[in-house]
Amino acid sequence: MTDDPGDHHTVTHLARPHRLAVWVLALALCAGLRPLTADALGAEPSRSAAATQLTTRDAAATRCKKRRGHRRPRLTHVDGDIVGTRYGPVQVRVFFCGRRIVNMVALKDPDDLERSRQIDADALPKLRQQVLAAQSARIDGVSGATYTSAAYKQSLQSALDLA
Amino acid sequence: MTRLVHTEEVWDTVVSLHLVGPGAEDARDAIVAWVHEVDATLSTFRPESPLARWRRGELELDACPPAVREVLDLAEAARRRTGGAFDPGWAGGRPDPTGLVKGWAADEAVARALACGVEGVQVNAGGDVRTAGSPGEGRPWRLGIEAPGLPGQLLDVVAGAELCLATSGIDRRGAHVYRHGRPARGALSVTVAAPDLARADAYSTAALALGADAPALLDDLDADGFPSLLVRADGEIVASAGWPGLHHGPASRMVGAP
Repeated sequence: MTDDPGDHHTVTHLARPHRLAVWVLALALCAGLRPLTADALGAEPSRSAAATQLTTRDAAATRCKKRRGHRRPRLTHVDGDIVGTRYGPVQVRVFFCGRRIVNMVALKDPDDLERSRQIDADALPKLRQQVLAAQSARIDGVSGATYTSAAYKQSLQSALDLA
Repeated sequence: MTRLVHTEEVWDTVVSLHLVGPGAEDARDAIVAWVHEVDATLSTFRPESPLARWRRGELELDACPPAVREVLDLAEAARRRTGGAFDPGWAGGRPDPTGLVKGWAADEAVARALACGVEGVQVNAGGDVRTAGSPGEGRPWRLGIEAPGLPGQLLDVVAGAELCLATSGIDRRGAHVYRHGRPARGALSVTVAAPDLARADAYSTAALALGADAPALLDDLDADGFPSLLVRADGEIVASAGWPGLHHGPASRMVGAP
């Protein structure tokens, strides 16, 4: 899978809300503030940079489903400018589902890539083998990495809350 | 026994409440008011919160609601206990206790629910969970621990009446725990069980920040009554000696040990 060039925009061609969003997110990330919407940053850091972008896009696509009675939303991405930070140059790619931000990834951060290699490429397959066979175990709640209010809707906890 | 379920959007996440028995509606109202009070007092994202104003030097600590000093004291204790890995000073300037506020607030939420007379309560603050009593028929609460990077799949299940489980992981929000100003890598997730959620929250954050260096701290914490389940960067699951899970015991550490 390759990125459709037609989906790619540079930040200079963005509508104002998108440009603003990219800037706010880039600044938040670069300033070391909590990147609350940086779902994908480091999500599968073991892959090459290109593979990371693809998996990030895949993750974005899963959050960009057609809803009944609505037009199919368009998954696009925009790249922010390369910003010099105290931790080195960083460029942020933000995925939009229509006008909604569904994922984000830092594209350029040499130290980040170096650190990423600490994570074994086989980590997730290995983990998958170890997770409970009995996934149907009756549970009342789930402890996991903090979810945003947007991510909650897709979470196992939300399913339990509705049950 | 009927169970009242309520979800409340606050702190940029969702707090789920499961309340069982008489008093459930009173408990829901009390907790909803409480979480928003915490948000107004202790959010660093709200410029006018007393904590934010104290951090900017605009308000003396004595002029703040007592909650501000309480969470700052807890944060400082957690910093000392973790050898600085839980770092309220990560952002520079005055300390930021945000890393344990959610757990601390959930602890108080459970206490308030019990004060309303409920027979069972689960408060899930964005993935950090505390329970008390029973969900019904006297059976224990059963909490799953979600596998990092595998949404909806469970690493383990822990059962009991009074459970406190906090998980820090890199998968949902990304690498949002910082060590020396850099995103932490080296561990995929850390779950800590504890007598209270404030410390579970702080210690799981600290262990994630330590990454590959986490096992020494987690062994030390285990001996102190804070067992843990670690998912290493290579995908290996490592349970501490006292880990109460049903599917992973400390034997699993043998598998991953070098």
